[in-house]
Amino acid sequence: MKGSLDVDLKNKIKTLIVENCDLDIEIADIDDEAPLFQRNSPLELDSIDALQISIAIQNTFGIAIRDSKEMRRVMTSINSFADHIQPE
Amino acid sequence: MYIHNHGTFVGRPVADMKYYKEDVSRYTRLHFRRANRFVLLSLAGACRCAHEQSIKKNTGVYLTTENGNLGDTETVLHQIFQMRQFPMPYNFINTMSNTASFYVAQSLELLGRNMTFSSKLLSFERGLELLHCDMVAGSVNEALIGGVDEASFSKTQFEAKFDRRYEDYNMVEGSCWLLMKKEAERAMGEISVVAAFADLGRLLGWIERQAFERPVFVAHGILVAPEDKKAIGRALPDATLFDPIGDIGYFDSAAASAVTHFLQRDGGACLIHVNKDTRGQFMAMRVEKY
Repeated sequence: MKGSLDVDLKNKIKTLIVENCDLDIEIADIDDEAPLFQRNSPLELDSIDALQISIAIQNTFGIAIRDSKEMRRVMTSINSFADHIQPE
Repeated sequence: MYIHNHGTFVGRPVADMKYYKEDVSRYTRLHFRRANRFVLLSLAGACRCAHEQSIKKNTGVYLTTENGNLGDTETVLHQIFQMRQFPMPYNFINTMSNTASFYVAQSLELLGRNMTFSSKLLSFERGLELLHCDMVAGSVNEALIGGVDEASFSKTQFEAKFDRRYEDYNMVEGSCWLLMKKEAERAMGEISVVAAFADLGRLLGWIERQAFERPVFVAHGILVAPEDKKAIGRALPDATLFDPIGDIGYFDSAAASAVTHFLQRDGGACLIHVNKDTRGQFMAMRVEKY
């Protein structure tokens, strides 16, 4: 199953982001398609958060994001994140 | 150097970070999402000291500490050497020595000289010496100076470092700050002397030359030995013992704690604080409370 269709995986990613970035938000309030890093993003994450999340992803799922372009593509939204971790 | 305000925060070492965040949020609207325990501890004391004070933008920040970001440094070393991982960025950033003083300056919107330093159990005294030099040189006219340290949890390290029984002390963590200005007007007190002495004899010679107009109190650092205390007591026969380490608890910035707790006393008085480092060098501070 593609990651973007796996609710459990997406909740796990949301929890990982909230815990690692010390966000004051319920995971139920994070939209699967909402941008994570743009200026109008509800989470207001920035480049240091991206680094924090990428290392947390590596430690939790064993998946390294080594390229900045790839990081930008993968971290577009919760759905893109989930598809990268679980392509099918 | 004149004391215009003081701020003290002493926390229990097991206190939850949420408690510290809530405490700091009472003084500033900034949300310190990435701040760690040491940063929050620094802010808790500095914000109390600056609260409802008229502070100029060019006020300096001098953060003195024995151990710095102890918790995060340990975490980062564990991540690198034990877990064989990259350190988590938040942890890594917070190990930078001036992160906490940066947060203090940011929260109080200060643009003046900003530094963090440590000097082997005499950090607060050395910080005051440096501030005094900067004031005399004219590069700083106002500054917040604080002593900040997390609690020591390691019985082994504590006993090896101090040759004291860990169980004899109530371990706390703290952040104790002074707002210092060059100008005397409206000051609540003064630090009139900060001096170093190579040995006990020279310290006693200095003490015997002091004249006092106010009731005198004497406080000691953790390494001042019982026989040193007796000799100091003989040189200051009318002084009353002031013991914040016994009354409040110990952390490695206890000298700063002694000064700010002394300033909380009612009435005018003078404090002679004697501290000692592991090499046997003494430092004394003379604090006047008007």
